[in-house]
Order: sequence, then C-alpha cells, then structure tokens
Amino acid sequence: MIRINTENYRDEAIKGINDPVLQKALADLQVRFGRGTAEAYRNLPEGPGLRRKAHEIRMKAVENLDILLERLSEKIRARGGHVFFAEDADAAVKYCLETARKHNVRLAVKGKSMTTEEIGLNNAFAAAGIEIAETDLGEYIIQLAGEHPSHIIAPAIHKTRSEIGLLFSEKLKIPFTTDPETLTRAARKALREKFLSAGMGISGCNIACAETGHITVVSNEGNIRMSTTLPKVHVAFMGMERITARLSDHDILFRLLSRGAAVQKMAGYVSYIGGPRQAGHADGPDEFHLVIIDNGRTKILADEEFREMLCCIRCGACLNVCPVYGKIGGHAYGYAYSGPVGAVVTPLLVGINRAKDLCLGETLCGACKDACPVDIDLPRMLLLLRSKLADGDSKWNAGRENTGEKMLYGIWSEIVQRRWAYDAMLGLSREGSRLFTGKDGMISSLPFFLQGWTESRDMKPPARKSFMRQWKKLEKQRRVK
Amino acid sequence: MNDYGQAKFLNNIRKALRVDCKRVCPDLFCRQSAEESMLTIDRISSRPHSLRLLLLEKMIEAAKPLNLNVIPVKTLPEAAQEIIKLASEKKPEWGDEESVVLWKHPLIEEMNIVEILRERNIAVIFSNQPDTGQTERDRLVKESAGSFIGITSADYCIAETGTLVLKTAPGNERIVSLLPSIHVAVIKLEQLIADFKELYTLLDKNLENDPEWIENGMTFITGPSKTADIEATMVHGAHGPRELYIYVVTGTC
Repeated sequence: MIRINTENYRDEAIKGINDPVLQKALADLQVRFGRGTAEAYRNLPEGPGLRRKAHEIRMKAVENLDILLERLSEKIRARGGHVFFAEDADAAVKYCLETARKHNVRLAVKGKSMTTEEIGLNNAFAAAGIEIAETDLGEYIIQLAGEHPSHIIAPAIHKTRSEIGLLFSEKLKIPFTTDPETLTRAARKALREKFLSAGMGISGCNIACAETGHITVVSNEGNIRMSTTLPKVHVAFMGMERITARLSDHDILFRLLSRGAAVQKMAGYVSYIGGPRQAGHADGPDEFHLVIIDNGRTKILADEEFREMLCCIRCGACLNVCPVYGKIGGHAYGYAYSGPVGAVVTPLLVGINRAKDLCLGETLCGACKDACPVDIDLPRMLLLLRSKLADGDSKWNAGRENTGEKMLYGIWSEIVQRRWAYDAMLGLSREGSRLFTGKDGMISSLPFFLQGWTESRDMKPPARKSFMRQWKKLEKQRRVK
Repeated sequence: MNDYGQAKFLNNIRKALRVDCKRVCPDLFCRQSAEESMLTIDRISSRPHSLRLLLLEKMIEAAKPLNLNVIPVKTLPEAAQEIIKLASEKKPEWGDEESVVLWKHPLIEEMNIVEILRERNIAVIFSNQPDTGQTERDRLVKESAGSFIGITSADYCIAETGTLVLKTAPGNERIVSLLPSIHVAVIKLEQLIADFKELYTLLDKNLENDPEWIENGMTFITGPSKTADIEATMVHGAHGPRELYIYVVTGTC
C-alpha cells in the first residue's frame, strides 16, 4: 500500500532533468523562495541566530518526548478527545479506517499532510471504497491527475497552467481556461460541496503544544480549517516528534516556520485544536481523534547521531535551496519526503541500503543547513549515512555497499604509509596514464573501475616529472649558482 | 484497561532515550520569568494612545502586501456605517440571497448593526442560539456557507503582521470567519498589540489564571485566504474568505 520507489532514483532523476517544464518551475521556485527565505532570516529582529534558539527548543522537546506526549494526550482526553498511539503505518491506517467505518463515512476531506502520505492512507481508503478528497489546491490537482506530490509545500509545481486547464475542463466539466483565478474558483466551488457533505475531516499536525494540550494546523488556503471544523469527525495524524513543551515556544517556531515554508512573516491561518466541540458551541466536530505515529522514529531517536533529525518541522525550506532538488525535482526521491530532508529521513525510515541513492546524490554543499529554520545539520547526517554505506552498520541493518571500495582504500592506506611504495605507485600511474592519453593530450576514457573518473569529463595526465623531483633539481641548480 | 497503545509506545521512547519514567524535568514547562512577563504586560496596558496609533499605522503598512484592508474608524456606529456601505457594494458569491452571519459579541451588539441590515432586507444570522441541537447546527453551517459577509471581533490583533487572534467560544464560532465570502472584524484600538512575543506573554498570563483558557480552539488569521499552487501565481479566496476587512475603533479623543 505504501509507495516507496527509492530504487528508481537514477531513472527518475534523469527524467526530471530532461523535463523542460519542471526545470523552469524549479528554477523559478528556487529564485523566489530560496533567496527570499535567506533575506527573511536576516530581517528577523533577533537575526538569523534565532534558528539556533529554535534548535534548542526542538531538541529539548525531542529529549523529553515521553513526558510531552503523556501531557498532550491527558489534556486532549480530558476534553473528550481520543488519542491513539500507532507503532507503525498499518496500525495508524487501521485505526482511521475503523473510525470511518464506525461512522459510515463515504467521503472524507483531507488537509495537506505528509504524514498521511508516509503511511499510505489514501490507497487504504480507496481500497476500502471510501473516497478521500485532497483539499489543498495543489494536492487536489495532483489527485485529479492521478500523480504524487513533488514538493512538500508546493505539490503541483511540476504542472503548467495549461495542463491544469485541460485537467479541470475534463474532470470538472468547465470551459478550458489557463487563468489561475478562474481555475482556483472552479476548485473552490467543487471542494465547497465536498467540505459541506464530508463525514470525516483528516489533517496532519504542525507543532503540538504539550502544556495546553493542543495540536496546531497551518495553511494559507483555509482548507485545513474547513476540514477540521465542518465534518462530524476529525482525525489528526502527527509524527510523534511534532510537539513542543510550552505555548510560548510557538512564538519563535511559527515565525521561523512561516519564513522557511513560504517567506511569510506569519502563515495565513494557524489553528489550535484541543478536542471535539464543547457543550454550548455551535460548530466543530463531535468527535476528535489524534493518531500519534512512531513508524520508525524511535529508531532515529535511539541513535544520538541522527536524533537531531527529529527536530525537523517539515517546512520545505531546504528543498528551495538544494542544487540537487533544483535539478531532479521531487519525484526522484521516491517517497513522501523529497530534497535534503528526504535524503536523510527516507533512508532512516525505509532502510539505508534501499534508499542509498538519495544520500549519495546530494552534494554536501551546506545550503540546506543555512536554510533550515531550526538549524539542522543535514550535511553532517548525509555524510554519516554515506559512512554507514561504506562500512556497514548492524544497528541500522545496513550492509556494506561496495566491498571493492573498502579493499582499495585498505591498499591505499598501506601505500601512503610507505614513501617508496607511494613513489613507485606514482611512477607507475605516470607511465600507465600515457597509454590512455589521446592526441589532444587529455585522458578521455579509463578502463574498469576507474571509468567513473572520465565518464563525464576529460582528465589531464600527470606531469612527466613530479613536483618533488622538479623541486630537488631546481634546488640543486640554485645552490650551484 | 485499553490505553490505546500509550504505555508501550511511551516505553519505547524511554528505551530509545535511555531514561527512566520517574525522572523529573523541573524546567520543562517553566514559563518566562514572572518579572519579564510583568514588564511586558505593564508596557502593553500602559501604552499611550499615541503609541497605539503608531502600531495601527504599522499594521496598515503590513496589511498592504497581504491584500488585507485595515480601516481606522472613530466610533462603533461609524464602523457599522462602513460595513453597511460594504454590504451594499458587494454581491453574494453563491446564489442571490443576501445574508450576513454575526458573532454574539458585546462589541457587535453595541454597533447596532442588526436593525440597519434588516431595514435593507439583508438577512441576519446569529452564529449561536442557546442549546442548539444537531439539526439546528447543520442549518447554521448551511446558512453561514451561503452568507456573503461574516462579522466577528477578535481577542487580540497583532500590528507587526496584521494577524487576528480569535478564541473559539459559544457565540464566537469558527465558521463565521471561515465560510462567508467576506470576513469583517471589528476591534478596539486597545486590542492591538505589537508582536507575537507580546501575544504569547498575554496568553501565558491568561493560562496562569485559567489553564483551560484556550479550551478547544484558537485561530490566528493573517489576511484573506490565498493560494499560489498554480504556477506560483497568487490568487485570493482559495477556500476561506476572499476578502478581509478589519475596522479598528480608535475612539474620539
């Protein structure tokens, strides 16, 4: 049921690079958001250093998760809400399906949530014959087209307005138009009917507050407010790490989240939800369910070197600056999470070997760390994942990816420790490289395992005489003079 | 007893963290120092009228790029006149019937707008009738969805970002600021605060007096509903209100 295609990274990346529409969309996105976010951090009254403070807040929450989750569930239950702890995706999906069946739900409306993508909720509902309508405009477009999101906050950036116009004229039976306003209005009308008739609303959770016992949901369109206010039953899904201790922590976190996600000082709508409709209230759901999901997160929590990854608030800022994401697009990452965050979190969730290309494909340039609103050191963890692939790690069930590489480095280490062996090797390669040097004086193809070096560029052959030998000769001449 | 997987789940977390469930973290829920919080609250409550007007100017600036209309008015009746004018200029989005849905709120009652609206044949819906049943509630949602204007007040308003803070309460329903095509909020200048730091200090203070102050809901609204999901082109009115007007009553002095 869960869609994991991390093995197709190479093919999908090539497809992305050769797609001119995607290339333009990604370039525009990165210019607008990437640069804007950096400026927004600089314009903070506290300066970009505020991200460090946010990191501390997040880390403290992660290190006290058990206490915070206990408090959150206690508070929500006291208001008549239900809290379910799901160890894996199956348990979470099953609970939600059972709740839907109990209430004879035929249609559910859903606000954008990457966690529900992670657990494959839509497919499970479809198999059970219950319709889930995506309500974020981008997600709605993707759902109508039968595709998957390619960006955490801008899921349909890979589609042009004329593609969307065609799609809407076919599915919504409206006259063809490329005008974004008319198209948006058509979706508004179609989804309005669904909001008003749906039996269940489904949402994610941005950052819950343990102290007061509320989840929070953030959107610009208002679709999440609709999904969590109108249907009789609201089911919210949260990754277990998406919580903070105190209400006032939200001051820094929301200001940074809004800047990281969409270069805003504050997102359009932030809602605190702490349970079902209270007595005397005229709106809100009769039942509120919170599903707290582990699904591999305790494993990340247990490893102190990767624990930092649980600080992530899924804003998508790192996607907007990543040179690799900016070329290959989101589909290559093969799972709910794309870009640098996906390159670290996906291998940890689905298996380091299985998703190896994701972390091998990144450049380690460090842009993602600078863009992260909670200052997560993604490059450090990308390197760490690569070291697991090189050396293997039983704790992560990671096997050594390339035994030849390990052997070669073993030999290399023996050679560089011995002067004579090093000189001999250099001499050999100097002579050997001549065999492959073409007429233009460049090496354009090397044999066997060395071919990777010349696959995409030509190399200059080593100089006839080494620097050391030239230096010695010059030194001798100088003394003679 | 079914604890819905809680004990085992939390135990897994403790194992991963290598901690004991009996550990104490005295500072985990500790709020900012009482002294600092008192200073902030004093600053807000004793802020002179002139400084509040400066905040209002700041908010009008912040509102421009958001397509948010912030309109200073001297008195509540003036606010009512402005809203009536707005209602006469705008056409309903769904159907031909003109109706306005209102919060039950002292500020809105003081405005005396209901009579004027009725005189102009605009239907008036109150968001809360006491002890409503399911069918009543369903009807209210349906009627609110058909309204072209929803009128609320707010608990606070943040000048830096133009954000309205609305606590859910009986009579102060969420749908009024969500379903109508145009959202109108009426606030007093005294409700205007500088930034989110001030807001969270005030919220902390409220929680100190009443830990359940937020109850089951609170919403921050910054500008009208918007989307940029089609080729990153900004369109207002994705699902929520297409337009948002905030009338700030500054007083006559």
